[in-house]
Amino acid sequence: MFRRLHPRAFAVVGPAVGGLLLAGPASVLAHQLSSAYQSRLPLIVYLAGAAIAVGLSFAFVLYADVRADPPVIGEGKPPRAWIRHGLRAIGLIGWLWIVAQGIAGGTSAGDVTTLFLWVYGWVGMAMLSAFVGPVWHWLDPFTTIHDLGAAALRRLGVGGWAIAEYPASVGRWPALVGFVFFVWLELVGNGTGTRTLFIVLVGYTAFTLAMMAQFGRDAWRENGETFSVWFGLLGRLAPFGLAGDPAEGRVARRPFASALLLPGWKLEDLVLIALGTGSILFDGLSQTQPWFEVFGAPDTAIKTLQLFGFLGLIVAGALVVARLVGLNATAAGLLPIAAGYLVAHYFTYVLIDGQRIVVALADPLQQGWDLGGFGLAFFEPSQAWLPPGLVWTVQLAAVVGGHMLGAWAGHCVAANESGAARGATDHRRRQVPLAVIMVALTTLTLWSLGQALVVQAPAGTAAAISAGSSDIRSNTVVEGPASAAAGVTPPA
Amino acid sequence: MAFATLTLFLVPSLAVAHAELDTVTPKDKSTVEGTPTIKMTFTQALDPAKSSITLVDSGGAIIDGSSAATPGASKTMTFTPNGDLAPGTYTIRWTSASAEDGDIARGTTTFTVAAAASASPSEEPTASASPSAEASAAASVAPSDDPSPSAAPSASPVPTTPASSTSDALIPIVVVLVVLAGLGIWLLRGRGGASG
Repeated sequence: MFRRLHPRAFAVVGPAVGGLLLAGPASVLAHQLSSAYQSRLPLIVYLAGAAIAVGLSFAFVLYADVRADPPVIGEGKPPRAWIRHGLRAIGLIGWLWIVAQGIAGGTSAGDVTTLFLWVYGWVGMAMLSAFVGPVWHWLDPFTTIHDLGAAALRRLGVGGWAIAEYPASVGRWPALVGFVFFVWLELVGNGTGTRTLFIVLVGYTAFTLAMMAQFGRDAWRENGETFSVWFGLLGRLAPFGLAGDPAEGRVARRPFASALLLPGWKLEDLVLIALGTGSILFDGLSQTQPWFEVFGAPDTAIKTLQLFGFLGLIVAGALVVARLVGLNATAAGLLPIAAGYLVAHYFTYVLIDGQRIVVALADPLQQGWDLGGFGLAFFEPSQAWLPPGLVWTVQLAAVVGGHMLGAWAGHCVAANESGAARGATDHRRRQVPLAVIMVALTTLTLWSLGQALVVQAPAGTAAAISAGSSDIRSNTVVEGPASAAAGVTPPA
Repeated sequence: MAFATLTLFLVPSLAVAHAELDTVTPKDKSTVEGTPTIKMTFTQALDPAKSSITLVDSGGAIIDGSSAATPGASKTMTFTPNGDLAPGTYTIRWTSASAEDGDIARGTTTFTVAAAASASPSEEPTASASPSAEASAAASVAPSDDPSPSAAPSASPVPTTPASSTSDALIPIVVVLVVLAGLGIWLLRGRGGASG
């Protein structure tokens, strides 16, 4: 098969490589939410990645015509009690900690609002959901608070009230609205700071509890609660998944990524996947040197428009492909891509910025303490232990691996749905649009990982903050009052 | 850089609000003779209740002393050790709370107290026994760690600037190629029997 593959595959790969060579790498990288790790993917690595991605997706679609059946999901059983209760406790403690810090006020490196919501939550929990299993099902503090509140009310003799039927026509769109809001907060509105994030959390908790009271806890988690819906969607990849009625919390094992082949994708799922993919791509792209050269450093309104425009573009592309190839196949094809990008863009962020938990433990309420006197409050996240070669390996493996899984899943679903005989050509030709959008997205991602990044430095970000920081790469372009000239290295 | 970026993200408004270290006596990584009084000034007025200076020796033991942020909208904080400092390297851990908004900033600087012998260079040079006795006495007092100035234990990792050369990229590429080839073959074979 591979002998047959060569000539035509190279015909595809050749121009792609040529185009990338022309595009060339500029100089650096950084992210807003994302990778604190300032080591860009070298040209050769992303060229190789793009070439493999292009070649293999076409190989799957055009040549191999692989087939795989959806997995048979067993009965499953609930995880052990200590796991369930432990996760619930962790989620609740995290929530309470954020609230306690929010009430105490102030900011510091030990701020758990950003640490829990963005680093461990938005990014870390997404990875756990995609690669381990439905951890969020128990960690979810909103559900725990709801259950505790309901139990307390029962004890007080306050009877329950009738739960309204969740309107089927609304579907999962409320979760998507929430998702767009959080993406905006992450990528555009993050200049508003910890305080805003705290207020958002409290408001979101109140809203979620109200909706759970109105429509029932499980109906709202299934459809309206952004985190549950998004993490649940990523859970299609995971080797452990909820079996049967989610409310029963039974977990069954299945082969990694096999649940992608299960039917039941909704239109909202596809849009959500596109939004997720688009937001990660936007985060990467909007900080590259070329983007900066074209758009400069836009204010909030303009950047909001850019974000929504970009997300709209990706969503529209996904919808067009879904129309041509089928909803299930498109969703199954794009979800692994989203998960791969998530890892590639953010895993260093979790590993490095996630270390701030040490500071948070030493000074839990941001009062200037150093509990125990060990100096842990003075700990600074370190990346010295993270070799660039490893980072590149993980980034490339995540992007290209996600792409391959997507190509495989999309093709299998489409082939199964078409009912075409193995080896028939018609159904394979119809999948080309999916391959095209996937290759475009992957090439764009790899390209952005290899670009120079522009970091916006607020005024006064001088010595003390970066005192003692390890400067792994010094070719970041800093733009902003701290060092006006482009190409200036931030103070080390 | 990386840390700066990450800080930018964490709390973008924080950078503006923090009381950052402006000046410090003794200077960072300097060598002094005798026991200094530490004096730090900041870019914003301090909240004395939450601001502090802690001095630790190279073994991590906390040195007794009085830390004081001058009350009232002062930008100054001092620390006076209770006793004399033995020769060795010391780390100042400073914590500043902005009087404006309570934002906490932290950092460390180091200084070295030179061995007592060098404190009196103009003294009579004949007594060859005296300085060495002093030195050994000092050595027995000081922790076993090397008190040389270069052994600063502060959290300032050496900037590593990995080359992004092609050879660096080669290993990951090879690894990824092997892994992905394996994955590809696995998928092409229909996932180990799950195929239709």
